[in-house]
Amino acid sequence: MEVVRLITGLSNFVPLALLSLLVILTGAIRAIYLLPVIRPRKPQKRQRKKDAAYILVVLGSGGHTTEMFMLLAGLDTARYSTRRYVISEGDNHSITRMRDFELTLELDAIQRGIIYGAYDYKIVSRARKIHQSLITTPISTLATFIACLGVFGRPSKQAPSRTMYPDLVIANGPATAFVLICASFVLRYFNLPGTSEALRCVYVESWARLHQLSLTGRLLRLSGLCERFLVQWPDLEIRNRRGKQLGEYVGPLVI
Amino acid sequence: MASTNPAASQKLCFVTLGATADFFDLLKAVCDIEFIRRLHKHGYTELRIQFGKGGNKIFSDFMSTRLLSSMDALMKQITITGFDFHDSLSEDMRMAKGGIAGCKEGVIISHAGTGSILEAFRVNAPLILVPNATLLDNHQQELAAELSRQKYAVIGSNSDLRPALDQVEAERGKRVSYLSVNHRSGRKKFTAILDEEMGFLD
Repeated sequence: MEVVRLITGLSNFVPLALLSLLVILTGAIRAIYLLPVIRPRKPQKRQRKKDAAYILVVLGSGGHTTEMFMLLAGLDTARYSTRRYVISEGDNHSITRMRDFELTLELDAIQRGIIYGAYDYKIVSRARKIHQSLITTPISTLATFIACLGVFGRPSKQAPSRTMYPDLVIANGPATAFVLICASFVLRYFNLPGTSEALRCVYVESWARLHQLSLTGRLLRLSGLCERFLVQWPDLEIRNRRGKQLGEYVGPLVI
Repeated sequence: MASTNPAASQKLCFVTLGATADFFDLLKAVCDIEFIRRLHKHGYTELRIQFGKGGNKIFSDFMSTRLLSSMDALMKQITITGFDFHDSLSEDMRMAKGGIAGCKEGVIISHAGTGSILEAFRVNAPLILVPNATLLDNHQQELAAELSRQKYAVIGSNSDLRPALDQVEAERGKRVSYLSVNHRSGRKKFTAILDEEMGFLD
């Protein structure tokens, strides 16, 4: 009798288990199908100059911010007319550097007689503060993740670009970058309107990394979340068996 | 470019410890009588130190002992100043590069942080890199070693900076400029990669 009861109990459970397995599998297949590393998206189609782009730039402490503005030097504000920066809580240095950079862009735009566009910035809490205990890190990372979800979204009213989500996410190393790119993937995963062509990620490994990727770099490469993964030293060039570059060596991009 | 009158020509040694990590070994290495004597021997007129958040004590202690010491006469010929941090060090770096207002080319002594290195490369001044051995990460060390191998910088030790300074003086004028090698026209720019991804076709 006991055995029979056990079997009927199990048979009640089987359809439920199969159903949840199916849900998880389709979910996973969708995620894999969306990964840039598995199925790269073609570059955006943009013949008309007035189709200005909306970019999201992740800034990090000290060296990362300096490098980022070196990468972006000479940015064409007519093309990248809408810019949003993501800055970690308490990083006033990055705010100063951002204002300096935007000022040079503005002067440049006036001189060349092109559209300057508009910028704004969002502050997110840090995923892990220096000396923070490892136990509380998942909680603060989750808080950062939620803050990152709020970072995407329509730019300010003055901004020329009318797209809902950033066309491009540009990052170069701070831990926040990984969390933020994960958040952008979640938006694409749920196929929110306007995400299918948007939220492309370009990651640049720091120029200070010669032989080994940073933690953020390793996480991003493993997860395959970036459309372009650029490295600045030849040792970091990585190809898979089909010869596709997973770490694209482009020479030094800084300065 | 440099003035022919030695009395009028300034020559600056600019030292930067960086903003993020305290690097007092480097500060102690430049707040050193023997090092300053060597600076004077090579014709430097000014030593300017960006010592970071916690460096003020070491710096002011050194400045007060210097007044008591017999080295005072030498010290009068070389101006020593210090500050914790500015938003931008490019002005100090440009002065170390010289060429303006009768300034001779001096030297920049820096921690091996990316931001400072790249800023020094941008002004194209001679550069001594002192990696911070107390940092857990050794990528500063790797970067400094590679840049010194490619002759863009000289590695200095925080126990004695004099050999590195001598090397800079010996190689003055024969230095390889990072900008001239890596900033050739036709080199792919980052913004061009963004254009590719965004489909901006010229």
